[in-house]
Amino acid sequence: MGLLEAVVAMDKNKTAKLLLGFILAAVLLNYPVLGLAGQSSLVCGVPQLYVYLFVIWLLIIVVTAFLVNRPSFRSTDQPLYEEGKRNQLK
Amino acid sequence: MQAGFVIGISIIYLAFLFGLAWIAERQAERGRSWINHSVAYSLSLAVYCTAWTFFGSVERAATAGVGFLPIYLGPTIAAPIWILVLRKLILVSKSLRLTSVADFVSSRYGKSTWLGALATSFTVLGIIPYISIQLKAIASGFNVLVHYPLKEEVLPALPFYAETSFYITIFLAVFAILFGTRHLDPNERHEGLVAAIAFESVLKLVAFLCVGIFVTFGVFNGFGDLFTQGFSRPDIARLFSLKGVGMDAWHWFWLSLISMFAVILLPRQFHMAVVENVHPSHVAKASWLFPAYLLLINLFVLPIAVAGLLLFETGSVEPDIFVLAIPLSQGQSALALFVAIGGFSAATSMVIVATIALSIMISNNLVLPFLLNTEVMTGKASHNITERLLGIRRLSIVIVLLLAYGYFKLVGESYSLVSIGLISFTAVAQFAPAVLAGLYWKGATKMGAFAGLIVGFLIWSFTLPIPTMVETGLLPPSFLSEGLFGLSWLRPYALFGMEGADHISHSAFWSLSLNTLALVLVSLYSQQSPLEVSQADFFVDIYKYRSGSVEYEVMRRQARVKDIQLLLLRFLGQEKAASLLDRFEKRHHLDLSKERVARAELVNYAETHLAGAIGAASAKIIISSVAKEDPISLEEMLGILDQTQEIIKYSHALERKSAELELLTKQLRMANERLQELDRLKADFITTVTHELRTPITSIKALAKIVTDNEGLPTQQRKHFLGIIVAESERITRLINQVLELERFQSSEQSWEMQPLNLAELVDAAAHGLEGLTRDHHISLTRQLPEKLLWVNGHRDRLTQVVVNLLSNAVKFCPPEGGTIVIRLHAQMGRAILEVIDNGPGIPAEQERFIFEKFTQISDQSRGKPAGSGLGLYISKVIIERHQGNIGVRNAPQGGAVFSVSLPLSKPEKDEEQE
Repeated sequence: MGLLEAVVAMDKNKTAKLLLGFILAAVLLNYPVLGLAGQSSLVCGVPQLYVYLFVIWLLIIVVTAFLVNRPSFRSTDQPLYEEGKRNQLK
Repeated sequence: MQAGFVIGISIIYLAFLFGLAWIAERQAERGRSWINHSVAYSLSLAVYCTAWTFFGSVERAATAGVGFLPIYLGPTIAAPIWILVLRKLILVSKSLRLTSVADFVSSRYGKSTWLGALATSFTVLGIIPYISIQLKAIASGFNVLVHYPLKEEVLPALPFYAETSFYITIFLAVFAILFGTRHLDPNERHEGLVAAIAFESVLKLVAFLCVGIFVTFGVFNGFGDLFTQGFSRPDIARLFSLKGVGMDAWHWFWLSLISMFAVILLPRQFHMAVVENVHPSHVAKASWLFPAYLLLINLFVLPIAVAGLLLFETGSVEPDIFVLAIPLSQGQSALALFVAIGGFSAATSMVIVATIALSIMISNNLVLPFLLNTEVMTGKASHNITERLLGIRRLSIVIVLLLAYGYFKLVGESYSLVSIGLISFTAVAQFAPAVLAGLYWKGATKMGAFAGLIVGFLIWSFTLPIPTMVETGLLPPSFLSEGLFGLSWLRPYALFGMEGADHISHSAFWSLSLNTLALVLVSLYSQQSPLEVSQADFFVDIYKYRSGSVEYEVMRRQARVKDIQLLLLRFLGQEKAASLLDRFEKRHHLDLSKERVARAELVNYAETHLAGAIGAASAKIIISSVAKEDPISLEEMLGILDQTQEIIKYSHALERKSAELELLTKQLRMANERLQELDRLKADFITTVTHELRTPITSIKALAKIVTDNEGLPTQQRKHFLGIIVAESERITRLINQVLELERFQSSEQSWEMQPLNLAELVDAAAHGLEGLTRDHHISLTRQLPEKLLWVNGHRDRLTQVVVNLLSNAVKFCPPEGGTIVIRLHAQMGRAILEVIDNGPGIPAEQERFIFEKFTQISDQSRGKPAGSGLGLYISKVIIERHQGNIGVRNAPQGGAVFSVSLPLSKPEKDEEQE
């Protein structure tokens, strides 16, 4: 397997994970799953629905941070014709 | 509070912002950028949170509970894929210097001027109401601070020149002009602006958290106390469930979806996320920092709404000023002022960035292309085109802000922040199909994009902004109840008879689905121009171009170097043009002053950089005014793109092929070695055979000569000689027969006809046939054969030959007197073992290995050369191996040799097992 294919294969795996995260988030933050949490009651003095939404929200943040915090995404990918320092043209 | 004091504070704040932006620009010029960091990037994205978030969310929460959240949950849901979509968007836009969604759409679909103009017009129409609500928020915040507690009569209709909001509008226009249009930058980046926005993002978050903490923990005793009190009131408790506020799946879904699109496609969001992006890798951190920011700023929205409902009598205070009214009612005017500044910063940041983004769109995609079409860009035109461009932008900023102010005065007052904001969200969501298809579907055509956008915007305007005119009295109420032209299926809030949905999801559903449908259908049935094909390929396969494997130079154009220099000079100014050309010369190792004709690279380079300053479509027009374009047909363009695909495929195929070839070569080399070995063996064989043939022939020749020459030879001697001749001839015959036989074995690879046969009977018969020979040599042959049958699968004649060979071999080695041969057959471990034991001299140890080779003859000084060809044992070995058997030799303990053959039994004998 060539280097290019290796990179693509690694990328595909990561892409799949990110897409899965997106789908899970969409399912958890939409009906009908949302309807299950939408009851009018308090959990530790806070409305159940409110707790549910913010916990899922936090989860998405943590999972996303975990997934994107990989060296390959922090690589130096410059666009074409990138100029380096932004002030050179001023 | 005194109006003068509040105005003074506001002016000090704005002056501070000015200073901050100015210092940031100075720092950047010295190469110490403040914003080249992913945290600054994430904060600049928080321009998403406007006065809507600050004031509107609380109002929304007070009436619709968690219904304020989908606007922030939509972007959060998309957070995991930001790094995929936004990064690609940034790479494409940066590579082509695209500066707005309109520019993006125009460039992707064949650098179409009309598409860019259409997209710009729609965006301006969609965003002006949104800007107007920010102005409204600033005005109402000011009123609350100055006039609290509010009474109806303290808000008289003032002429515009006496209104605070009017002067704030002017002030914002000045700020936007100063920091957004100071120079024409091919990168369209504004260091000071971003620094100011990032600061405002921090400020509004801190302000909102302060008021939230004060309300929750200062006025009430924490969340538990607050919510428990609210829970005991039925009108508040209903806010805690989705059913209570009438939020259904349909509404929730569409709100999430349009905000997911809006967070990237709103002009200010696109500007901050894409155009002002310093490095694409910043997206990684922003994709979780930005949702975290949204979470924090929304944490106290519901608590504040509940607190406001608990504290104030129903209807006495509008929910959208709770954040100010609660601190004021508690006597905390300093906190209220701080919060008001937070809200002010939320509103101003949105207004500033949105107007700058819109002004770039208007000048690059709306005004300039048509200006260029009407005005020939030759020496006649003024040298100060840069100034003129900036002038257009400044003018557009003022016009946009005045339009927003007018809308606020005319319509805005009768609608809430959120409902107008959502109208704008639905408007920009119409770009989603064209942008996403542009990034991921090469087949999307210009006609398809046109169709989708027009359908989407027509439905959007018919179902959202136009009905608001009924409220303001511009249209009769029958328009809503009976529909356009009295057609009931053309009712704006029940299009095609779809009733029951709320206005936003109703409009979003029809506009987005028909928009997408139109885009796809028309794309499928329309043709792309060559330019569209190359742009589509670039946008969708940006990574291919970036990796450097393919050059983005499908357009073969030529121009005079002088013309290109002139254009750059005119649009970018002396300094920038010189530095750009200098860089180009360095990169390509050229001296442009010596070149007369600019090649395609320079033309593309100039167009890309011009596009950054004046938009893709305008840049194309300008370049084509000086460049000669080799006409390229659609077929050629497709051919070029196909070729690049082919080349990639081909190189992969080559890699595979070369690996296969390597393997093949290895196999061939091995086969060749084997062949050479065989050749050598054959040569040896022939040498040996001829040698073996010559020996008897020599003796025959010699003896025959003696008999012929000596007539008087005694009869007895003559008889003796003739006997030898006969024996030698027989030896030759035997040798030749065996060589032929061997040749036949080796050449006939096809399997022999095997059949089950009784080995005991076969051995008995073979031994019987040799009884004459043994008797002649005075040898006693003993047979030890089993009573029962021993079945093996084999070839009768060949196996017989093996037995005969082994026996005659034994006969040869037996001593002339008292020779004994034992032939023994028995079964063992599922195999038949045949042993032939003689009492000869045995096999010398060093010969054991070679005895089954061709032409090996055991000889020693004492016995002389034995009779035989030296092929017998070899042939036996070949035959036995063909029967999946083994043949071997060992010396018997009492002297003599034991040749043993083992053959697999064809069926396990039951009685044998019992033995």
